[in-house]
Amino acid sequence: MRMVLSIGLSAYCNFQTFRPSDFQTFRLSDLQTFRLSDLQTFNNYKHMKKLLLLLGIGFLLLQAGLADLYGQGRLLRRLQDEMERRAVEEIFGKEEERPGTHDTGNTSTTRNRRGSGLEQSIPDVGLHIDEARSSYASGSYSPAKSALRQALWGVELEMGKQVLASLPEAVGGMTYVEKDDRVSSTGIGFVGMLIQRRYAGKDDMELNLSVGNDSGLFGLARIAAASGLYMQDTEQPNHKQIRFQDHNAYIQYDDYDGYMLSVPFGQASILMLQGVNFDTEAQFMSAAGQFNVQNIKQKLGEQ
Amino acid sequence: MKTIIRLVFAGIMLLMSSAIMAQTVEARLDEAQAAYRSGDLEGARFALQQAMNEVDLAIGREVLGILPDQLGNMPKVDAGDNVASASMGFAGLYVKRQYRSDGPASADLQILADSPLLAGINAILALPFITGDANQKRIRVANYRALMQRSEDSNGTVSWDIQVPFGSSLMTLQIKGIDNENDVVAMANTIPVDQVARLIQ
Repeated sequence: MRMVLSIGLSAYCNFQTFRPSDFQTFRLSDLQTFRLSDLQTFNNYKHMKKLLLLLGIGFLLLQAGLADLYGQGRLLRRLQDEMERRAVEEIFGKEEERPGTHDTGNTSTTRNRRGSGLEQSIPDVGLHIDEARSSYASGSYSPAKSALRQALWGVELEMGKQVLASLPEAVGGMTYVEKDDRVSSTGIGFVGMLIQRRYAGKDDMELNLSVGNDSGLFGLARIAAASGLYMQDTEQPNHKQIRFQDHNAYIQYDDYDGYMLSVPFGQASILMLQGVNFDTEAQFMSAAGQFNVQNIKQKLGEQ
Repeated sequence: MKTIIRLVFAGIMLLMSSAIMAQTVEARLDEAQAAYRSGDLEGARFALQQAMNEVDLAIGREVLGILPDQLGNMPKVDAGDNVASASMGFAGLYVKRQYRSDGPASADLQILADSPLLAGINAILALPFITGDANQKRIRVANYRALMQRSEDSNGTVSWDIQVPFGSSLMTLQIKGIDNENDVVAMANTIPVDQVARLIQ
């Protein structure tokens, strides 16, 4: 090893005096005549040839040796593992794995097997307004606010249901999935009210409708749109601005989500349609055309 | 005598403003009730949101009422009191009070309450954490966990930020011009965080 390193170092130092043609005159017997003392007379080309060749051979031997050692180590480890496994089986017997007995890390043995969910109650708006009035009059502001939230939720729930009732029951051969109709609201304007409906039932196609209303976020989206954030871009051909029922709208496509149409309307509302597995933009837009933005706007009291 | 007259006048103004506010809330609730009965859901919704804002403002005034008039030797600035409510709950209720001394010391107390944005931030602030920042430490203010930060500007003026999260609300006390940490913590402890939390939640 010391010899290889020495040769390498010396070869590097004298590289400028070496010529490639020297390899042609090399003989194997040169290896036998090599001595460390040759390093001191390193200026002639003959010795240089030997040194370089030795360096190469030494490097190859080193690589081969390491690979061999590594392979042997791996084999030994596998043998050791196998012997340990067999020894354990010999002492304790072979464990038979039964289906469904995988350890999931959950130590709880009790699972819920009964229950009919939560009772769906529609807030009584009038009652909650009266409650808010009396709480406020007595100086209990926190309960007053809570009652107002309930009243607000009741009103928004009715608005959402009215919008859902006004939507078509079938679109492009798909019918709406009644159990997936949803109206949600936080009672605050940050998120606002969200109305959702899903259409399915024709092959693997799906159309998801979302109407967002009274949300600060949708207002921000309009500002972004007005500032040209969603303008067409030749570099990104998968989204473009279009006109949809007298509203500026944005359509985009990606291979994972399919088609997505966004139609901001009113002061802070948006209609979003997502079409999954539609063949063409025209097919998707034909389905989208069956929703009346003006009608939704009217139901939400938007301008 | 002048002081008594001023106090009486301020009291009358406060009572009047409360009465006006009560009338406003009443009017908004009547409006919401009438709109709802007539099927004008958007009108009812708007009136209810307005009523909620008014209630928020009433809560904010109550909070200001229980805050100390003096922090250390710094009296409050009457004109610095501020209560605001974001119209749709985006930022929630905002309460601010300023304290100023004759010298360089000053303090600003801000409470951002009932904001959904804060729930996530507060969860992080309330968690025990390890920090390598020597200018940051966790303390307790009126039995609430809080985060205290020290900073110093180029003139050598020391300032302190104490953030006290509770529920979806965050109280921030900024004190400038006081070097001693113990004095700052003592000042923070004169704020009735517990009562403020009870009013807001």
